[in-house]
Amino acid sequence: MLEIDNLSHVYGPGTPNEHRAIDGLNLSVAAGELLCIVGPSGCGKSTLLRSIAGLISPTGGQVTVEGNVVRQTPDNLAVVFQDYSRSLFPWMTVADNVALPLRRKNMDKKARREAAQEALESVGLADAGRKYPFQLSGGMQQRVAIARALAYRPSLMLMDEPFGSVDAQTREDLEDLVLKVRGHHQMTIVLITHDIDESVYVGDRVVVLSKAPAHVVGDLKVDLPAPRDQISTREHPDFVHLRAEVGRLVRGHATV
Amino acid sequence: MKAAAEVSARAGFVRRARVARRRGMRTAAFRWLVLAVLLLLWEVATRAAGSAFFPTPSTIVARMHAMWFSGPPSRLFLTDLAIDNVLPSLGRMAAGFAGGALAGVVLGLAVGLSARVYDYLDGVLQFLRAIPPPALITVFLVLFGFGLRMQLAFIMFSILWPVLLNTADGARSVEPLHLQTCQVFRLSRTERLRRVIIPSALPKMFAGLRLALSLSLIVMVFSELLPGTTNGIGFQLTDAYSMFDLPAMWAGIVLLGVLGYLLNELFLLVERRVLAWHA
Repeated sequence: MLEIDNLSHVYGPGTPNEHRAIDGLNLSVAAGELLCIVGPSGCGKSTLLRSIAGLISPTGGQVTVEGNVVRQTPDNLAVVFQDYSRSLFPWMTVADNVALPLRRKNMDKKARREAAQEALESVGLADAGRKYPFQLSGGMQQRVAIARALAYRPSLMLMDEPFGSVDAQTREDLEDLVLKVRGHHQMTIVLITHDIDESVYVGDRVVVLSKAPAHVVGDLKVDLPAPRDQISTREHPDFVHLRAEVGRLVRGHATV
Repeated sequence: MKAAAEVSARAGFVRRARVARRRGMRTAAFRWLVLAVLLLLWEVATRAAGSAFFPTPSTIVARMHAMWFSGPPSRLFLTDLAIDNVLPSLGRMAAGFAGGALAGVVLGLAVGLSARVYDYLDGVLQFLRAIPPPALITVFLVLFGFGLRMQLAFIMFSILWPVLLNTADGARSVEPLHLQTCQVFRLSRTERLRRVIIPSALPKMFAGLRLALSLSLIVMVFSELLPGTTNGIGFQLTDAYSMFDLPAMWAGIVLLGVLGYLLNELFLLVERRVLAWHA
């Protein structure tokens, strides 16, 4: 589904501010997998995500999505950014925000509206369509951003620290939302986070990156009983064990 | 729990809105009070001075009524003089504003869409904007001669720059994450322009248009002060002055102030509607 082959990226090569964000990173994601990528702050996670999304051209190596080398954003790829307030369009209603990407999908207005409504229902915002983003709480806005991605029916959904800007309770709700919607949609999800617990709770698999320049230092399969539950999963011995292991991997490379 | 939080959030929203509305009403009341006090002071001062150059506000208002607003009800109380003088002025201003604003928006978007074009032209545009339009009036007279064509071209040229520069600035300062979102969802160029760039530029565009509106009133009057004009508020002003009819001159001045105020209020009304999302 997604192959990352010897990926490197250097910002400002040859300048005094040269920064190696990623160095020789290899990663392979199977179709239908929910992969969490975790790593210390500033380790190049977002650079990795932007390379996969075709938003930047990496300086070395390549990314392949469904067999095609990424040069611009691949078809059927959606991104949920951390900063929902600057990713949603404030001048459009919630429903229009969700329906906007469908305009290039050969759908008529009615079909677009129905798809948007369906996506909003699946994130628990059935009645919010006519509102504007600023009338919603942060967590609800991020739900809208998720609904926008879902309505687009991507085969690959990238999430860039999607719950980094919401409070703890909302965060848990949104984690469960991701687990719920992935069951209904056939898609691969790559979720980037700096939260170790979150990566283990949500992921089928957790990949740990080193500090910049990033490369893979750990690749763990998460085999926790389904369905996951915020209370019982988090007290499961395997969860405790895994989070400790991920923690060691992150920490081991986080500080000098 | 979430529902409760939402309900209380909405209650807070409603309460804040109510408090804000009450405060707004008090401000409006005070505004009228201040106006009334100032008018009263003006009346007292001009009565005490008794100067022919400074007629009392009551004289001016009576004169305005007699000149313009004592017509038949079927014509909204407008007199022949109002129709001969006020309407042509408003027509010139509206046509000049519309033409200049349209050109400013279109050219502003064209300039703002390309970082390179913007960087190349920015200096030139700032230079052109800095020139006070009245200084260029001779150039317009040479190009268009006296009359309506010159007046319209002059108004359009004068307001073009603030609209153009603000629109270009707005089109350039689109939130980067919005553009990335467009890129991710592969919106076409037209979709991106229509649904993202233009709405992003709207707040600044409106700031430019508002500037242009007040400027268009000023340059409209200025263009009517020139020879070759036989109607308009500006013409009426020079006419009254040359005949030493000072109350009529003051009536024109007050009318311009009132028009400027009303047009600005109207503009703000439209702006609030269009930019309701822009908190």
